[in-house]
Amino acid sequence: MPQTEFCIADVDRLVAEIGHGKEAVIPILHALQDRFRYLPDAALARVCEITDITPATLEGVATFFTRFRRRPMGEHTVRVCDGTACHVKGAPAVFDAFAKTLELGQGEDTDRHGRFTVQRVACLGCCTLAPAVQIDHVTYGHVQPEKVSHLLEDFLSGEADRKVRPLKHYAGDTASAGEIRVGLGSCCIAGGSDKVRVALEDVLETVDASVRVKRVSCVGMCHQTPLLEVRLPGRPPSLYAKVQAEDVGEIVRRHFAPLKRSVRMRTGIGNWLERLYTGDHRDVLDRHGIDVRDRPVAAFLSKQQRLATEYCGEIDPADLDEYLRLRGFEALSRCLREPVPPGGALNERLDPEAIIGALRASGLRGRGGAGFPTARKWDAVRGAAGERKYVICNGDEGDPGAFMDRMILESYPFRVIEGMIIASIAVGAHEGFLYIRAEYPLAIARIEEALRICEAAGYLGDDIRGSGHAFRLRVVEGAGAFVCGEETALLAAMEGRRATPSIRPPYPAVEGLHGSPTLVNNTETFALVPWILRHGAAAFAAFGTAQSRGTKVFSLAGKVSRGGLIEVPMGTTIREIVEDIGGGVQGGKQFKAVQVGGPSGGCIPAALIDTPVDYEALTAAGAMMGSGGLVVLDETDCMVEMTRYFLSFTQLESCGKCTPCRVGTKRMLEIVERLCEGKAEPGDLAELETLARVVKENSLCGLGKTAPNPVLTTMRYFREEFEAHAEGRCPAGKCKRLITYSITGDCIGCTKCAVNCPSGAIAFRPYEQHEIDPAKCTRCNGCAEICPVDAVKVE
Amino acid sequence: MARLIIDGTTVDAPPGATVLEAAALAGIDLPALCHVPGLRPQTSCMLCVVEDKRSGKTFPSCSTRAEDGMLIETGTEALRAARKEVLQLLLSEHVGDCEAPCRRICPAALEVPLMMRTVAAGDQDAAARLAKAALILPETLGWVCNAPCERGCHRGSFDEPLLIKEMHRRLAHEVPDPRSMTPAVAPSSGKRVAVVGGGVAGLAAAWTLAIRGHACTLYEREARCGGPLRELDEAQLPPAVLDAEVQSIIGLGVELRTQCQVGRDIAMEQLLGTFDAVLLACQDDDLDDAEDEEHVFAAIEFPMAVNAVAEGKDVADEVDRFLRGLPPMPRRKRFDCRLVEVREPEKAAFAAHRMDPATRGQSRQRDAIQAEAKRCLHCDCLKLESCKLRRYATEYGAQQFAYRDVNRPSVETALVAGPVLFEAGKCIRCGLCVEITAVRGEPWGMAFVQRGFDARVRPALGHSLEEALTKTARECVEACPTAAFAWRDREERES
Repeated sequence: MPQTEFCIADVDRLVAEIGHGKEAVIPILHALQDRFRYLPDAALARVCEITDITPATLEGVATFFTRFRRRPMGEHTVRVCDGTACHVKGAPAVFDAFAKTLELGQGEDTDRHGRFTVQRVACLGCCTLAPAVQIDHVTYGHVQPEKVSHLLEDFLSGEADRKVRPLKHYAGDTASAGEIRVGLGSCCIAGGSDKVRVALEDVLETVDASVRVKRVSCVGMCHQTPLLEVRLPGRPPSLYAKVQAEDVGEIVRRHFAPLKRSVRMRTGIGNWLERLYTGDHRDVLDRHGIDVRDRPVAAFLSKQQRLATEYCGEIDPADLDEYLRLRGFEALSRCLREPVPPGGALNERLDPEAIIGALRASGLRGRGGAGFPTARKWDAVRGAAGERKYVICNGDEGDPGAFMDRMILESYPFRVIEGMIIASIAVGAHEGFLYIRAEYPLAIARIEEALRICEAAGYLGDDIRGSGHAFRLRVVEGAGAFVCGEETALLAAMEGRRATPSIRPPYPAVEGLHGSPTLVNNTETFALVPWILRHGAAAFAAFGTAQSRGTKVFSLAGKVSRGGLIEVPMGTTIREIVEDIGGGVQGGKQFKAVQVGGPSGGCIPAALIDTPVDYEALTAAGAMMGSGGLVVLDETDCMVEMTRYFLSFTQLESCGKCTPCRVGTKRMLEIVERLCEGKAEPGDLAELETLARVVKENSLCGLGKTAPNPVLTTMRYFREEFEAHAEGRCPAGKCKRLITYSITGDCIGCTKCAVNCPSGAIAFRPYEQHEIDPAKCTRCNGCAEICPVDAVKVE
Repeated sequence: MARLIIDGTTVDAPPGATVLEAAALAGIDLPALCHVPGLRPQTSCMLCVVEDKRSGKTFPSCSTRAEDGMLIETGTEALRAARKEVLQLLLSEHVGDCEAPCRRICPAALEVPLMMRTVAAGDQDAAARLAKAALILPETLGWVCNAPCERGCHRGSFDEPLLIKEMHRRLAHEVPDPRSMTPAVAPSSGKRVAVVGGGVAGLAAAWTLAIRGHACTLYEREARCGGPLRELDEAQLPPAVLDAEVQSIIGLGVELRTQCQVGRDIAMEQLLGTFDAVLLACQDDDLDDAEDEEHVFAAIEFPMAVNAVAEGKDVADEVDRFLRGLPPMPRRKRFDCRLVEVREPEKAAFAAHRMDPATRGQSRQRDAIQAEAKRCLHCDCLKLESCKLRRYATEYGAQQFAYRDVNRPSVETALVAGPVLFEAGKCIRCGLCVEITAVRGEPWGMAFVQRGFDARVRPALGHSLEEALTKTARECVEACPTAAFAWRDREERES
């Protein structure tokens, strides 16, 4: 139980555990925050007394990162995701609903009983469950504003037994009667898959089969979570989608016979009673059973190529034996002085030059967004002078609308670690770090578990597998700053400074962490390395386009029928991704654009739907690869509002170091806000463009240089929408200040809108035409959504 | 050693030198707010951007090392435009006045706050000299001026604006020896100037030229100088006041020809032939043709006396430059940041270090000029001359209100540590003071807090400014590019 009373002894103990050095700032602040739920002044003063950290640094860092607070916090933290996907699916209304339900005053974030603190977070990385909300460590998906009070009740009622039940351990032979696979990534868990897993384990005790429940990596079909797959020897796999705990019994009984007569009776009666009472006569099997041969599933899977996400939905993230069985660590073995297993030509030992040579031949470019050739970076670090070198995995995925890195870290921790060990051999490093966002607790837990397993098995340590190569890896938890995607900012944070970028050169490859040569690569980049070495550079280069080789993982979300985590060869067109894999736009709406690359990227309009995804083609279209978020927008999305959304994100995430970004993004945002509020003047558009160019050309780092991209691309492709806003119209009917709601003569007087209206703007008049009071109307769109006869007109 | 070309000049930069340092070797002074030699570059203001034509890249020169073969351009149109925009971004959130509103409004640029401080300190003679130097007819204007300065006075937001006009009238009137107000006259230049028209502008021009050492002849068509001021009655302007001030001008050796109308009593051609320059300060359309001559200068007519003084001084200045063979002064206005108004919620913060507590709630003191002078809030910036932001804003023609509808931050209470003042609203977040206090090992020091647009600088962990600057106050004040850090009691302008 966290305590808010300040206690010097606590601070001393925490510092003693963590360390006194300058680089301990963020870990110490995390520890204090966990302990006190905020950072009491006295605690900070004490830290300055007993460590090498200066007051200016401590306060500078404590106020830089969004995870840290200087005011006391409620017992529980509600994090309302405002990532791109959540945003387009109504996150602002969800946030308002929490504020209203908890009766928060203006500028307050904690209710008066001190129970809940509500925060808006950049992205929880559960984009396919949008809108998503995290309360402490519990994630809720598809949150509806009107259900917020139920959600809070559910949280409080379940709080006592929220202890996660550990996975059941199955001894001995695993290839027995079969297995039931449950996806246990964050999204799946938020969708209820852990409850399904617990129910499964319970139900399976009652049947006569030695099947085991297996947690598996993210399946990628996030639109179908929780997914459950029954694999029995000699039979085709059966896949069940959107399974809930109460459905588990029926699914299991379809495949397995009950264990004992009494149990059969009891479950039979129980089930009968349940149905009788609820009156819910659902056919679980029909509703959930899907077949991988079904057209939609086949379409979702067919265009994909799984390299970084190899064995997706099949392997247990933390099962080293399985990883080894599936040729894991084989690439590493060839890089170490280990006996080479017999085999073909690919089995020669790889020395550092050969490793980098293979990467060069593969054409691999950094998957973090900018697409810098990986081999060149590795070469630079290898060639840099220095006793001490570091390898860092950048897992601070901060783009709203992107969750590739989270999924890779959660699902394939060994693969990332293997890539990093190989990198350490190639560049000559003996120490490495995985810098992972604090918003990804499961990713952190899985990586830490995998690190322990690797250490125990000798894959990490002072003498890796008897090769003499030493490499140690640690997790560093991020603290909430998008700018840490910029490698120089990330290094500043790791050194215990404010995460402000610095000018390159010197590149981190030459002067990185603590001034030593440092290799910083994105998570996905590391995850691809073992595959490339195992299958050969040519096999990798065979995928993709001339300039962009291989595959890319994307998170596909927004207004698309089948959202999820996909991996496709570079050069696949946006049309193939949206229409074939994603199944087109949800709900029969018109496809308008796809937002690529998050706040650094841009919106590619429907007219350019045949643009292939490769670095150059996306940049030419005004977007950028970014880390790979794809958010589909439909006709009801306002491009000016989207621009406002992205700008407000970068403006909040600007580190504040250089003038163009610090003040320029603010001034740009003000103009776009005026457009959304109908207060703009025609001259504002020219001013916006001028500012966008200045910020793009003169900012210090990638964040500032790309922050104007959403403005510039949307103004390029949707200029008429900007002009309409300058005249006070919102063609998509999204900008609240520019639209009015009214009820037409089609109204049948059903009263649904009046009952549902949160602001009491519609008087209850059964069987009469209803009316909306524009003064009270908050333009929440609730009436339009609930009206059975489409009698609500938006103008 | 790196050999590079900067603006066409080949420069050999010592190892490790930055492009900015290399440019300095070539005599190019790149604008920079956040850079001070001897300290790590902060790379925050982005004013020192240059372009490498070889790579086509634009980068901050303060933190980019000079490399062999670089082809640097420092002053392209695009770079200048970018710098101007960056300055405008900084100005859009800059809180404060450069010149005090009174001084900014006064057409004749009377140093009002300085005059008030001088009076408050008890040196009325020095204050009178200030008034004379700016207004030339300080007592006359003390009667007739409609005092636009007083309408801008921020003290008016608290109780009543200062009595500025009354102040310079009294100073000039009460000075024991009026001649003591006249500054030293420059040695004779050997040049002769005809000033046509003895109105206010002509008088001001004659005074200015005489002070600069030029021999002046003043032609006045009427019997007495003063123009329209002579039409005022005793209650509006006692004639003796004007007479005395005209006399102070004539007393400088100006030759006065009254009842002499150029074009009637003396031919324009004669003036053109006799004088090195002719200054027209009259309303005579017949003389317009003469304006085409290179050595003829015309003053524009203004209805307000103080404008006429300003115009007379300005044109005399032009003539002076002409006679010295200097090019005409570019008429670029010096940049002036404006607070516009002290808003209700920020009054206390604004007044905190400005208002003499003894004058709190005190209305104007008509009879005690020293007490009245103490009511002054000294709205002028403490770094009027040394502020780099002002300097570059002037140089690049940056505008304070380039962006529409920007709500400037509120005035915050300044922090005080002995002679040092810290005004957060003037901070550009360059990071120099944070750097200085860190590298000099201040126990607390200055800290950056928050981030992005909300990032700000303040003493670390709630300490006082005094605790933050135990040994680095001087260095911080000197490094600070604006008046965020400044000496409280140091005048940057001579009285």
